[in-house]
Amino acid sequence: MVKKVKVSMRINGEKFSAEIDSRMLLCELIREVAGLTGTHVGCMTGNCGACTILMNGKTVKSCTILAVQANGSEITTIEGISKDPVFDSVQRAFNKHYAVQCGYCTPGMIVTVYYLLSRREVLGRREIREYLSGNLCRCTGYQHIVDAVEEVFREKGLFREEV
Amino acid sequence: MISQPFEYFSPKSLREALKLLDKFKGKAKILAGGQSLVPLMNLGLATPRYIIDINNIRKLSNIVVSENKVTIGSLVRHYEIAESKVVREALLMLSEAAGHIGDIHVRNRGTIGGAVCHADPAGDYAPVLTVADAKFEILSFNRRRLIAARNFFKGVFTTDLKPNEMLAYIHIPRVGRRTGTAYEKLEFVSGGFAVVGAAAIVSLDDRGSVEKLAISVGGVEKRPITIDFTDELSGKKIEASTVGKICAEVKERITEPLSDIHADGEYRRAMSEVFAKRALSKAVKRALGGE
Repeated sequence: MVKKVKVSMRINGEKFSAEIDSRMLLCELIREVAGLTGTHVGCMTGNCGACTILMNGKTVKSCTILAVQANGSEITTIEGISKDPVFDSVQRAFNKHYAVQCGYCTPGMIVTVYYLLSRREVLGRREIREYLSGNLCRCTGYQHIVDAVEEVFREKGLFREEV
Repeated sequence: MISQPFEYFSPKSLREALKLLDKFKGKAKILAGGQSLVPLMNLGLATPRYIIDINNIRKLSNIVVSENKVTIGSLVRHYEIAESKVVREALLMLSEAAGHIGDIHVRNRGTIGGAVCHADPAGDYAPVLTVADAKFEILSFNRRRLIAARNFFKGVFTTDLKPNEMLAYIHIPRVGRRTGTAYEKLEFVSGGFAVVGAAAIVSLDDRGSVEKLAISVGGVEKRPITIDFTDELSGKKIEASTVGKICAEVKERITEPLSDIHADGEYRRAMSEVFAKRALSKAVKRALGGE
């Protein structure tokens, strides 16, 4: 007889509550209980980053967090970010540079890019690559993704040219 | 979903957490950042019956500077240590090591306490804390004890922690004014585990002679290999040949290097000398006021 736990949080700005098994992972809560399937599940071991979301403003891999740990927190998924004006620039740049193939890593990538932009840190191409290292892509070979992110950072005046 | 059922607790105080740990010892695991534990539970490799989530214990989240030490709570996240001005000034190699861990997502969530208690032999903190003479404050419901970092790490995923104990604070002694520290890591993937992780600390007196010099290398054997050269070099100046001689000695001391899919033992041994040299050279430069 498994005991259920009550959780409540805000997901993309809206109040959300559920009674769940304490074993449920945050990525499972988001996808199966909240129905937000933009967040993808890849490795389940915290390596691939397909499950990247924002928790209290910081990126985390939602497969490494128990759903019950998100009690009282602010969760932002790709669905929430897609409503933010900055998303348009990111989406445009990703399209322009063919940074999306199968699309599996894309939500995680975009959540990460959104987070990097929110830090308002000026980045060079090498730093962009390092900061994206928590999001794996099996299709693109990364070049196009880095090109897209570089373009967004340039657009926002946050790109540093390196020799 | 994780297959093994467990009961979840989220204590608001240290006292409450320790009480639970005492009650369920052996069958309970502390959950902090979860960057190691949750994946292990997902894989079915860790199957605790009780989870004690300590993320709400505010007391453990601080970095406190006092006259003779810096105290870091076990819940402090890797990104906080990497970005902390206080830590960068007190012990630069610790910030460097923290910045090398995993990736941004892991660093946003993972904690120094969790990483230290998980004791992966390739962990970045172990050699740094060992060579810095850090002391770990370990609590259980009835007891408080201090143990030196070098005695805490016992082997692969093995520490001195008893089943009813938890790591609460890490105390790092302040270093002399003319001190340089550095952490150099050999990783094959950005943010991957250290194939070799070398930490060096050099303190000089006002005349530029050695007051302290020590190196610790992690990732090579089951626990960090640490050598304190202070006695040998005390009062002497560092010559061009000193660094080379010291690092060759470090390589000599490695007798049981680990071999795995990432690297074989002899390669790790050879690389310890190379990375010890990089770390030590940087530490010397920093002690002398350069960089």
